[in-house]
Amino acid sequence: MIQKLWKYNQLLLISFVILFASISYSFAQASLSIGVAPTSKKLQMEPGEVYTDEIVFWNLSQETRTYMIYVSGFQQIENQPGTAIILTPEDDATAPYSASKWFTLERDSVYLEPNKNVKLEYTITVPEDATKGEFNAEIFLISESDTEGNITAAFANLAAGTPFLIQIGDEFVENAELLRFVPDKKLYETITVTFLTKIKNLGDTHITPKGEIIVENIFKQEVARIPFNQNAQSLLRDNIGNYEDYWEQSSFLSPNNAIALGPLKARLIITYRSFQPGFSVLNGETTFWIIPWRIVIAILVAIVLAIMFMKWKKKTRKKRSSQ
Amino acid sequence: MKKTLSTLKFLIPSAVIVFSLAFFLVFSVQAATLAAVYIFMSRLKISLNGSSGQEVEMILAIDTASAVDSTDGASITIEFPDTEDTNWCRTAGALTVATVTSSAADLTGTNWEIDSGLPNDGTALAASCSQGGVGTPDTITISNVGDLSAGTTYGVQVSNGSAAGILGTDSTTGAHVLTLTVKEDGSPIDSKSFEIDLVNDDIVQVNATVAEIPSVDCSITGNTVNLGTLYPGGAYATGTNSISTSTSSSGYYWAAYGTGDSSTDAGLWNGTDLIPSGATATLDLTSASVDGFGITVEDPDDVGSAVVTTNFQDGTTGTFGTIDRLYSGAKLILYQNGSQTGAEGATITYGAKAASDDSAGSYVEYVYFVCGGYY
Repeated sequence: MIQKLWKYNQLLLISFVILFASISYSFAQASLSIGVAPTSKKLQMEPGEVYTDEIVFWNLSQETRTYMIYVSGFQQIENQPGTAIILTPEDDATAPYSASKWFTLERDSVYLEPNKNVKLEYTITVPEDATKGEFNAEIFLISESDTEGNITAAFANLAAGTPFLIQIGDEFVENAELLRFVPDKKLYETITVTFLTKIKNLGDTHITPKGEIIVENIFKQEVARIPFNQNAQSLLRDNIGNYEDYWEQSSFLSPNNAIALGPLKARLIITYRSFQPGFSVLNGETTFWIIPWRIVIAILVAIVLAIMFMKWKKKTRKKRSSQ
Repeated sequence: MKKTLSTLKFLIPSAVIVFSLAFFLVFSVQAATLAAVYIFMSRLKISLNGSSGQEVEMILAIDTASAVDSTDGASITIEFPDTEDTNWCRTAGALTVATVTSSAADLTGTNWEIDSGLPNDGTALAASCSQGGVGTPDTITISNVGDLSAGTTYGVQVSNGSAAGILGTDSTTGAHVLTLTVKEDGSPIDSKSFEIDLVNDDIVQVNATVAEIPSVDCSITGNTVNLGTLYPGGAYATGTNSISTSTSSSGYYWAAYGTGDSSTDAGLWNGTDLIPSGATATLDLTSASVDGFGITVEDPDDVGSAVVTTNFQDGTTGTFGTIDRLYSGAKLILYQNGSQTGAEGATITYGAKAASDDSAGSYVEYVYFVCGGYY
């Protein structure tokens, strides 16, 4: 009887152990979404001027969420023109071109319900003693962090906003230097060329360089004309920007029947000034090769084989005639 | 006088008898009411003249209270108010008629739901409209109607004829009484009068302006990425979530930074020990001597213009790009360098490996993703 009871208890114990071992943690999963318009704003203002407008935010996820609103000066991310990452409060306080203190917002947080636009009104008051030049600031939202106890996890937060470029005055120095213009490789098998361009902004305002890359073959025939900086990415003052432009073409024959093979030369022509841009052009030149070497090797092998076959045939014929 | 009296003697009783009998012989002919009927008009605007853009079509649904035998020739008429002559039938003549088996006005499960198309009597259905005059209204007549069963709702549509026969609407707003009659051999079997309301304008113009202002929409699906249990000196663990972007602007970008221990580096932090993201650009967590925390990003379009920056590409299993602390440490992880046709999504993979001397406990890192359109 005791043995039976013991066996029964053992079974019960094992069942409980299995039950507790199968417990797994479940944790909250949420989606974050920020839609914003406009994506950026460029203003020309005068000292003492006041400007009021609004930014519209929305949330395309299915969850309502509160986002904190911040205003700060910003900088480019890793020499990528057109990007913005805010400065830390310490950096912002000492940044010479930060306009964050000029902004007044109607609130410091925003409650984004799914599929609903929320307008955020802001006022920019340019100080009377503001110096001439370009200043920047960004109004941006950051989600509040979720926390879960007792798990090792990465908690993702989302931040997005509208960068402002505010020009004070109307006379600016627009000056830039072309630091580099090269293809990402020297030899290509197919036409998938990435042109890498590095420009330094030496002026006191942002520039939005525009231009073309003209590719010519060995016969000086134009085989392609690629727009430079198609996304119109601007480069902040005192910054370096890396631009990438792609040339992709399935055929080795251009629309004007020029052959895009062998050694090719690419010429870069960039303008960046807002006033009389033609008087200040950045030029660059680079060379590279397009050789479909697999096809070339196949053709060469075929030619060699054909020659060998013909020689062998000639030899056989000679042998026969001599016999 | 005597002659007159004797004549009256016969005349008066005869008249009394005739009148009495006449009263007995009188019978009333009265049409029953239709069990269910509706007219669904394509337009309810006043003064439509039936020309291009002002066409009027009517779908008629009827359920007769009694069966209709087509042997003697059945027809349906719709009569409009007599004071509105030539407005409803703008040009007299043959109309286009077609059977319908359903309409948007059907009330499911009731008699006001069309069960079948109006049958014909062997000859195709025909319809015409005639203009009224003094004492006669504008009338639409549908002829060659087949047998109708009581309890079945039949549907038919009339519209402008190919040549003559043009329908319109009256010029006054408000209620207009229509009488619909089902006839057998020209005699009314069932009929019903009802009102339709005409309005000044039956078109609601919806206006919206699509802003020219460029916008960007950035989303993260799954903001908590559980990395499970890490074993000191053991294999690396991974977790994923995803980001997506759509923009009407020219291109977008994503950057990321962490918080780590709030002083030295980004990475997983338990309050005592940090599993750091490290000073190198990438971490090969398959290497026995390497521990840390990093992320990779899936290329949204493989060969398109969305580009994952070199350090965060997911081509090598176990190799992760490192992130830095705070805004100043934000690293570009993904950018789009050309036109975008639709929303682009990418999977973010988080990889972590604990060092052999890391203390036990739960480690946490807050990764901030910054998204935007180019200025």
